[in-house]
Amino acid sequence: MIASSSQFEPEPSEESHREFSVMELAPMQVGIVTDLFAPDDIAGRLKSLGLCSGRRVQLVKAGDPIIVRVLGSRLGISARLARSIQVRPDTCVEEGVART
Amino acid sequence: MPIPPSFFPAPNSRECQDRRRFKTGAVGGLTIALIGNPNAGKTTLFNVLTGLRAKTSNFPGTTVEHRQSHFSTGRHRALLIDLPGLYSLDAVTPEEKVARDALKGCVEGIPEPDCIVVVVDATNLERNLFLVGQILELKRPVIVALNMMDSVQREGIRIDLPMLEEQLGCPVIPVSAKAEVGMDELVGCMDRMLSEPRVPAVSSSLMACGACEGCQYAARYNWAEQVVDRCGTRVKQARGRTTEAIDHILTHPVVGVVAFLMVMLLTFVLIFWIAQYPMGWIDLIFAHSGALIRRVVPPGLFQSLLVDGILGGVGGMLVFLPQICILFFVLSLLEDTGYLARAAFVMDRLMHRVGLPGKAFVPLLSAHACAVPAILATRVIEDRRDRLATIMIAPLMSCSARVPVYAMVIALLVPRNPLKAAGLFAAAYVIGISVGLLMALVFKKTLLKGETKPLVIELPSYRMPSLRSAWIMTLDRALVFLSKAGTVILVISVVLWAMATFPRMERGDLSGADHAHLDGLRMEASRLRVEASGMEVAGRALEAEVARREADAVDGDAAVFMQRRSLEFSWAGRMGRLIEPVMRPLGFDWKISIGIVSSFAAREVIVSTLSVLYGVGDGGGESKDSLYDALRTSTWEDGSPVFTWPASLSLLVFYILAMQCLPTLVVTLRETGAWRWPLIQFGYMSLLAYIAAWITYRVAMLVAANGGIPI
Repeated sequence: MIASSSQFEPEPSEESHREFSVMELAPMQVGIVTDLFAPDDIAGRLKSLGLCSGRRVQLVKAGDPIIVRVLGSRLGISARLARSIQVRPDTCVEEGVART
Repeated sequence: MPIPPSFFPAPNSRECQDRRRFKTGAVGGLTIALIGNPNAGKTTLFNVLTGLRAKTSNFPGTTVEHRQSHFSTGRHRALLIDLPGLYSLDAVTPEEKVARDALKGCVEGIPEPDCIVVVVDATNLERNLFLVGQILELKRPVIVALNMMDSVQREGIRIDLPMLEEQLGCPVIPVSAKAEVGMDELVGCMDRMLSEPRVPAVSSSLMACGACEGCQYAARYNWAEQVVDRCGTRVKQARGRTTEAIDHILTHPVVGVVAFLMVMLLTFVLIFWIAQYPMGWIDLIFAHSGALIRRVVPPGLFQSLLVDGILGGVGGMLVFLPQICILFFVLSLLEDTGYLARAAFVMDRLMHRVGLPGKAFVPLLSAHACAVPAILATRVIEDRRDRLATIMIAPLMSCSARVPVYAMVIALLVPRNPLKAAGLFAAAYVIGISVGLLMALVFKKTLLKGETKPLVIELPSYRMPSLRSAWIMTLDRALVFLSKAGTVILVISVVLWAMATFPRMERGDLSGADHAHLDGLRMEASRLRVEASGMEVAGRALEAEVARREADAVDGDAAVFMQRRSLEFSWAGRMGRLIEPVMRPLGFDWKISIGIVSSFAAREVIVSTLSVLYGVGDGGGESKDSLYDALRTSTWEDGSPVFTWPASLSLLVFYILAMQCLPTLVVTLRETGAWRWPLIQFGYMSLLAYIAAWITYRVAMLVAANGGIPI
């Protein structure tokens, strides 16, 4: 991750350690995947599409199903499954371009 | 450094050590396998390279299809195989498992590839590199075909090709399948690779993937990220703006569904409107062939077999081919543009309510042209239970074969009222769909219990479709349809013909009254001819001609009468009479019952059967020229009309719901691999049709009795 070149260093706060489901991201907000609470076969499919620990995911459209952006491509995921994808907020975003 | 255990592939992608590796091909030839992510343009590339030479076949022992073709790279001839798309070698679906096995040479009949070409979507490099990484580790000769370079150029993405080659350790060839650019370089590279196979120089960073703790996916993605960082610019944010804008509308829960329904409507209007021309030509060709055969082959059993049995039956099926082809073509285009993924997306929530996945809608859509290709199309549905449920209800979607029957019955219900007729047509379709969805719910709650897999679908960027690829796929699918359904239909046609011809009726089998009737007609014809000669002699040539024509018409009536009696005498006729008591409560008389029996294997047969039975042309004093008139005026023994509106409505409902298509049952058997499913299909639909028709008839009679709606 390239450190932001802003004047303020983001303080390590509770914020960056909070975990919630990808559904709760604000539209266009980027999160980092921490956990997948889904059965193995479904988790396997999600991982092979790029939703695995440490990868960035951006919520493009909320609803049911939701649309997220991962590894540069867009995925449609049913809300029920999306709730099991845990993320934490991405506190470090490259200037101007979200790295998803 | 010792290789950590996590370096080895995850459990379900085990090496096929216990099975023989198929090292050499059947003819000792070379094999090139094409693999890649879905939506990477692999199939378009395959089509561009092989054109119409490709042949579709199944992987042995599975229902998974693949396409292969003999292919020349210059110095070598090889078998080029298009494997199913997959995201990772950790396969989940049957398609992915077979693709993985084929890559490793574990599939019987498909030798281990001498060269693997990985088709990569250059606009999605990071995600695609995941699979590339896994394939590089197979230590087989690999070429990376970097596809969609036209999009890359358009969006201003820079990719450092030499650096990418260095990072991956294998040749990287930029191509654009759609623009047909880079094909020669790719083929040249394949040629060199076959002459001097080179195993990829796997870089240390890829090897180190295994060293990371935690999910090996994460490790591999980190490697992919590194590679992309070193080789190219980051994707600009501006990319995908158009796609996103369009998606804003098309994935909207309400607008999206409406848009989808409109696309569906447009597709069907297109199909029915365009298809009528080729359908007319096919009809013409068959009519001419029939006339030709009648001239060449002497009249008799053989001629009848050829014309009525084979030509009639096969012609009846071929006439639907244009609609099926247009449907395939349109769906192929829509898939190529990326729209079908959006449609699955918006329909998923609605389809979930009846326990079906969003992906089931394409097969159910296609079933409105013909259930046979629709059932084949259910292969995209990953979950076995969801797939079975879709196959079970697909025949309830009103297919093209039902249209002539609907037309016939609706003409009886609302003559000369196109608006009401259109309304009834629409109602018929809606009933089929609604009952289908209801039955899906029932199946998912009973026989096929289980949670529907949640939707996970990639929404690729919208792009212009490749017409050529769609055209090739359509031809390919049409051939598959012809071979799979065609052979079955040929057999059925002959069997039906036999049932309607045997036992043959002799003059001696006719009743006294019939004899008298026939004799009467014959005498009438002779009388008219005598009159005609008389008029001729007296110089009244015109009246003579008229009289002669009348004599011919009476002869025609006699022939039709004999035909009708023969049909009643045959096995088909006897079965019809046998089941008549069962059909009476639905308002059907024995002629309709024969029609139903004869259309058991193919729905539209009822129209021609009824034409024969009602002796279209037969008539004593009045001549009924059309089937419509014949039906309208037909009566029971007591003189009351048969086709009252309740009876007609009941017949309509029966045909909407009944399973009357042997090819569908055969394809269901093939795709599910068990007799149980086609039997259940036949059973539940017949029951449904009977009960619904009965209820319709009873309710309609009540309404009629109380002076209710004559529509």
